[in-house]
Amino acid sequence: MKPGNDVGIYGYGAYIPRYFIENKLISSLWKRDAQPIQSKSFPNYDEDTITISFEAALRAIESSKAPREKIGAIFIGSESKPYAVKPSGTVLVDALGLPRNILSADYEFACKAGTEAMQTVFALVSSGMIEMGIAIGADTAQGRPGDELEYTAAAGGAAYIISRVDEGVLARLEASYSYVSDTPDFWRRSGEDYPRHLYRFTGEPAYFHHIMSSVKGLFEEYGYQPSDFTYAIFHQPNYKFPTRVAAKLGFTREQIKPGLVVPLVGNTYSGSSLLGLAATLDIAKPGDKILLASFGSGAGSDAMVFEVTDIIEERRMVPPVSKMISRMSPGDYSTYALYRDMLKR
Amino acid sequence: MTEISDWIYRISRYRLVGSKCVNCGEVSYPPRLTCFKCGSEMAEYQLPRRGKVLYHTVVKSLPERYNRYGAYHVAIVELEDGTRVFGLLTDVDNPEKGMEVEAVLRRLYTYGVNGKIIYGVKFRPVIG
Amino acid sequence: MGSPVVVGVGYTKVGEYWDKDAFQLAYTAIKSLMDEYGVSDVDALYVGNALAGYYGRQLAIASHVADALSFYDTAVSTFSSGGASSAQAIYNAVLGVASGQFKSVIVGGVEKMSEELPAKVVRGTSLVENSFLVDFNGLTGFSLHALVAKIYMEEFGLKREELSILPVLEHENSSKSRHSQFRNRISLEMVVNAPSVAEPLTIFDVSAPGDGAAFIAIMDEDYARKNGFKYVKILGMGSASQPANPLERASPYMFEATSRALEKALAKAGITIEEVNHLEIYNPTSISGLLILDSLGLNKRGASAKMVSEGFFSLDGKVPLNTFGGAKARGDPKGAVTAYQFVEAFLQHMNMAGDNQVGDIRYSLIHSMVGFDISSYVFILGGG
Repeated sequence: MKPGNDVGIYGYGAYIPRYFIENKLISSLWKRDAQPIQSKSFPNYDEDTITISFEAALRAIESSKAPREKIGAIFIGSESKPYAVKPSGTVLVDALGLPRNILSADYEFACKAGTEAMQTVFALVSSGMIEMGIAIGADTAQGRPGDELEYTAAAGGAAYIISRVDEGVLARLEASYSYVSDTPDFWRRSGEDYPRHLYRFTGEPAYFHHIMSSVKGLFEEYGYQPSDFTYAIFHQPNYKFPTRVAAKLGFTREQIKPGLVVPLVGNTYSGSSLLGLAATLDIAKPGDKILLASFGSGAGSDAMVFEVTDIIEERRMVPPVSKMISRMSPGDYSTYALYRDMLKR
Repeated sequence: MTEISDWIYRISRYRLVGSKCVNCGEVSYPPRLTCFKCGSEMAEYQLPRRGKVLYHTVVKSLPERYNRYGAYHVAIVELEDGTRVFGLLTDVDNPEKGMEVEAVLRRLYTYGVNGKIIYGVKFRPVIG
Repeated sequence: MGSPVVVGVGYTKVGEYWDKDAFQLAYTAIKSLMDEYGVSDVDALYVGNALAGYYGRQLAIASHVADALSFYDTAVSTFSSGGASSAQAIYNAVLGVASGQFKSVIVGGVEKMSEELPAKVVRGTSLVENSFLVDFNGLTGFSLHALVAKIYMEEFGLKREELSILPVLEHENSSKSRHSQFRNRISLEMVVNAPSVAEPLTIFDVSAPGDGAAFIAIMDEDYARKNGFKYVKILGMGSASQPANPLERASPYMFEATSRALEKALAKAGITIEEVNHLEIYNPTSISGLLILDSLGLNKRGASAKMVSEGFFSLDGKVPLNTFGGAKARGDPKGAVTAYQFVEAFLQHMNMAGDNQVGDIRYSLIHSMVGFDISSYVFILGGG
């Protein structure tokens, strides 16, 4: 897909909570050996998807000096939205002082809800219906105790302010390709606390098939090849999947390195690939071409190509993702259980 | 407060919007109807987000609404424009006098498990 | 007409009354007042109570105390302002008598704090402060005292032990008092090492929830004399307020409401502070006690802790203070506490204070306040 009028990223922001729990503490609780990553983030008891989205959006606005009065949409993609009915964006309209003349809705498509939101904002901005829009992917992922995914279900998010290219963007959207099929690898029924999944089925038929389909679809339609890209960011449910899909598609370790935050931060679900993009933008140079491919269970993938402009230097996020990671401090399983409201009262 | 009265104050609670006297310039947060110094009218005033901790304590005798997660820190913060405000601290184990903080949005409390979630300003140490 | 005078008192011991309700306590106190002092005319009944409404227990409590006593020809008013509830009730009872509207009034307060769970008690007693600060900034009454204690200690170079000098004196006095809730002596070391409430304050720096009822009878002086009552006079009273947010004050530790209320009361009584030689102040914490004393102008600001440790305010000192233990040791049943202060001043003037008796009282000063000196009340008693 290419929008009728060129659009791009005006500003970006991200947020990772302060706490992390080492995988070895989780595996020692269950007396098992698996440690798919080193550690994952978990939110403070006073954090949720709305507060994480607030931080990410505020960082995007302040770092890019985006004029609030031009923002015409705020869409938040998440699988842990605090209200089943009441968009998270409504709180942010008043918390950030955005204009009331605005569109807001919550997006859901498992881990690709954030990139889903971005696709819509690209279209709204390109059409001229709005001047700027914010798309956010954020989660406080629900890790079922004792389950494989407990090691990686983390918290965090990133926000992208989209505008027409003539407003001055730090990265231009070149093209995108979305691919969806009915593949129930992972889902959550209404009212359930934790999602369910089909273990190894989440691999080949889900994650790999959909990402490879969206990226190959994108490459075929627009004539890209892996060597065109400086960086590639894939959805990061763990360390193995993104590194393997990168290799399968022909990308090198160097290309995916800056965007790979999962080893320390874990899988921030709707925030995952967007957080990786933020970490990449923190160090990208003008002229760099970036591929982003998200994955959402259920299932689907959004693949996007961005080209970084000269403006990147004046719009870099303050503080960068690396500073957010370095402020993180370890917590034990009991603190994790308390803050995640896992204790029965 | 109640679910409805909380709503009345949400802008001040979310965004550190206080009041400034139209006559003598005194700033107050929480916002006031009249100036405590000269009694004149006050206009809305946006306080800065950043400041430093002047004094802090740990609340151990916990009140309703703030008694789900154990002891917490409250502080007197001096914002960049010199205004002093009370505030909850977050993301910090051992606050120190002079610590630089910034105002962010956090969950304050909810009206029961299925009731409205009340968000408001808390101060956390500046990152980076 | 003459000034309003206090002719009698009725009160329960302060404690935890698991099996009695507020009406039983109020009835006990009022009946003992009427029987022991021969008070039978009750033109008005004013009742202070802080928490029954917040607890969802009973609103308009004075009407229901009157009902419990079958007082149907009496003018009735409920006063609710935390620890100053009975101060407001008494303030208005005095006005009622001074105006000539009433000849004889029974006024006081009752509180059943034990009827609720800790977290609700904490919020209920904190909500006398600005509700934005309590609900949105997480402040409790005691943590507010704690923060200002830190400011005060830094400003005046006060050491940790000096902060808690008053509770030690208060418990010492209380050990001799039959109606006190806590009669144990404590040491500075105990206070400092006790469990924390909001540092630097520990459980021994702050008052505990208590139940109790205390009532006094106030009469027109001519009427009292004509009917053979012995009495102590209420010579003057004053009240003033200041910003509820201590950060809006010139300094958070300045108790200007108390200072200005004091000025008015002294002016009305026609005396100076130096002539007062007995104090019953309402200090729910160690720090607020020091701040109240500072605001009375007996010395320069910051000097009160030293004066306490030098014995100036001891039972055998120059100006005995909280002679039965004050809110910390005698107890703090919020709606009744200032009525207890009046009871204690009356006992002192009538030479009925037993082991707590001080000799040669000229003028007594009774102080009460809403929250952290938001609105304060000072009464001067003497003569009779």
